[in-house]
Amino acid sequence: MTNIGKEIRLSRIIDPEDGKAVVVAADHGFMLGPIKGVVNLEETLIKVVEGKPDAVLLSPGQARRLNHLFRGKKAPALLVRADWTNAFRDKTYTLPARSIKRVAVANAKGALSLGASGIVTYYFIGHSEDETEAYNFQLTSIFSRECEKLGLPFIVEALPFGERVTGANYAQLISVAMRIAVEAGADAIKTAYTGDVDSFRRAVRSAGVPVLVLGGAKARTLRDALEVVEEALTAGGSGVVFGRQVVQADDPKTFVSSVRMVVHEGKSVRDVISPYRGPIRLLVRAKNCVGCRECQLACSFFHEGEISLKKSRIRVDVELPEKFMPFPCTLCGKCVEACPTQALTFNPELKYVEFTAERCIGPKGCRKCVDACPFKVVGWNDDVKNPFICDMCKGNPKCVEYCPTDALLTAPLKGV
Amino acid sequence: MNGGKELRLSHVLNPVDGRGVILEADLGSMLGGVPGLEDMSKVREALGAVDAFILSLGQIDRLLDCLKGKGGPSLIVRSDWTNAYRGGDYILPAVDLRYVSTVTPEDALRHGADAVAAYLIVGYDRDEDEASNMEALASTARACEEYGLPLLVQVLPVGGRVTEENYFDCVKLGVRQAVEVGGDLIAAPLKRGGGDLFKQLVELAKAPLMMLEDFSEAVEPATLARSAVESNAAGVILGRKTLQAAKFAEIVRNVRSTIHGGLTP
Repeated sequence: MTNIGKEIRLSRIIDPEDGKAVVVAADHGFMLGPIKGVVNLEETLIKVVEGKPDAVLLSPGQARRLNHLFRGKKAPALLVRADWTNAFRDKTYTLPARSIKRVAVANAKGALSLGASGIVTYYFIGHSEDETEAYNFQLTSIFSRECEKLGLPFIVEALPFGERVTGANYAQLISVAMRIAVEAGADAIKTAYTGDVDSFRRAVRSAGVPVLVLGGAKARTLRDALEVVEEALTAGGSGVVFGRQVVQADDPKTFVSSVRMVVHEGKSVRDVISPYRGPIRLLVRAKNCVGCRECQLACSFFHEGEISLKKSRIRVDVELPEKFMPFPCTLCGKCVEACPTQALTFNPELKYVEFTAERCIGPKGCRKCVDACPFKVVGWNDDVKNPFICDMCKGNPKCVEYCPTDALLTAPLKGV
Repeated sequence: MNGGKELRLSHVLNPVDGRGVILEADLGSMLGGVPGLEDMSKVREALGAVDAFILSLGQIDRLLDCLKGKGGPSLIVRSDWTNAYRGGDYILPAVDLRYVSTVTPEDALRHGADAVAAYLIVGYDRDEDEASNMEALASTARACEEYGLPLLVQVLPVGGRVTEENYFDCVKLGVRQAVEVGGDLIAAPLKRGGGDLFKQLVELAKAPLMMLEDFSEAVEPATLARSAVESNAAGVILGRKTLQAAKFAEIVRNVRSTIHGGLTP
């Protein structure tokens, strides 16, 4: 980049220390009206800003109204949405879009007068009518020239959108849209993840500018979202843009700071979700359980190398159509008490139940531990004549890691 | 003040205490490589202590690495040129006081500026020179308003008609004119023993007023910083005296500590 102004302002969005950025998009009200999380945008954004995102994207009107949230060097950079579209009004919306329209609503000068460090506009590819894409390109070029003249970073949200987009061409269209936007003058790209590391890495290489990955509206939990972040970074992304997941989160501050930990501090998802390293217990949020049994399958796979419900150390009661209850080990110690040979003991450091096969009664086994378990989570391995004992995966329970709905959680074990 | 100006000004004056420490590092454009200014890399020693650098357009590229990221100093771009600093001891003393506008706010923006700096010289011998200075300043102010770029006006009471007797009135006139023309941040020099008078200026200005280091005055930077705090000024602009001091970095750090206490940039 030879434009000094762009270089300096882009460095307030993408941290020059690590070349990464965490951006929060909060311009939904402009396209969709007062959806959840943006009804009282100021209230939400105060929490978002506490999480220290690098930049926040707002519509011109909200940028003017909420300017005070962006004051001081430590505040997030302000990005202004410079175009409007009805493209996201799908059939579930009050007034679904009948044809996709997109118009410019701000220019570089206007964005600067609002205090912006950059503008963001869409570039859609996949329209059935070629003149729509031609207009798209023309608009993008106009924005690009304005930004060049005034040293304002130009970020293009390049997305496949329209009737000609299919599952088969989606990943390739992301790459095409990114490259076209760069050729038109984009300094950075905001786009969706292609779905796999290889194709995304190729697209990033072809773009040649920093690429910020959309966090993915489908991520249902914080863990899902962080996993998308981790993968996007592995695939060469320069950071992420989260929208609804943040503004609609129960705790937007924690959401943003968790994403920061993965993006800027290089922490693993596991370290962010469960940073505690002492004795733990498992907690159940039964209302979140959907009966998918991922916990059981993860348990058997990581302990026995098999996908088998019978070889799991956790149990899920299913009462169709929608009553589900996971039963993990509660560390009640009944099995330890019942074991006549001290084959079961509490691990002195992490306090999980430790099984010593050499001490277990063979060859058939006494099975007293199985009978003693009040929750029936101690099973019996007939192959080797040993019990299946939950060892809390030695502090990193796979059942918790793989639960897609946060129905299982860990908590520090106190009073041991 | 429009939103862009407020937001960018908050990068120069810390919003927590409303004060700033600025280093006027563009003096080479008016004085050349005089002692203390020969090597521009010296200003790097002030990193972490100043809130903003005033730089001429040509030097930005050399210091670009310091200006990147959120924590670095903000960039204030010099938009004009004058020979006012060329006193009798200079190699080519100014024969005729001159002022010209050199850089537009658009140029400054294209170079990443958070603000633009311009002089208002008070006491010109010729009225047309004062008018010309005011005209240039007004044009810069209008463009700054349009783009949301704060305008720092430095009042220099250095014209031939400024005397010991009318000095304070001249500064008062300059500060008020600077506000009226559209300055968002004003700076004026402190004359020896003028702390109380400066306090009056701050009250009259109704805009953030910074203390401007004056090379011709014997006021040390540390005294300047203390006076700034005592007179409720919006901080200090350090210049040639500080740049030429043997313990430059130490002085700037001490000034920061006086102005901001423990606040980090």
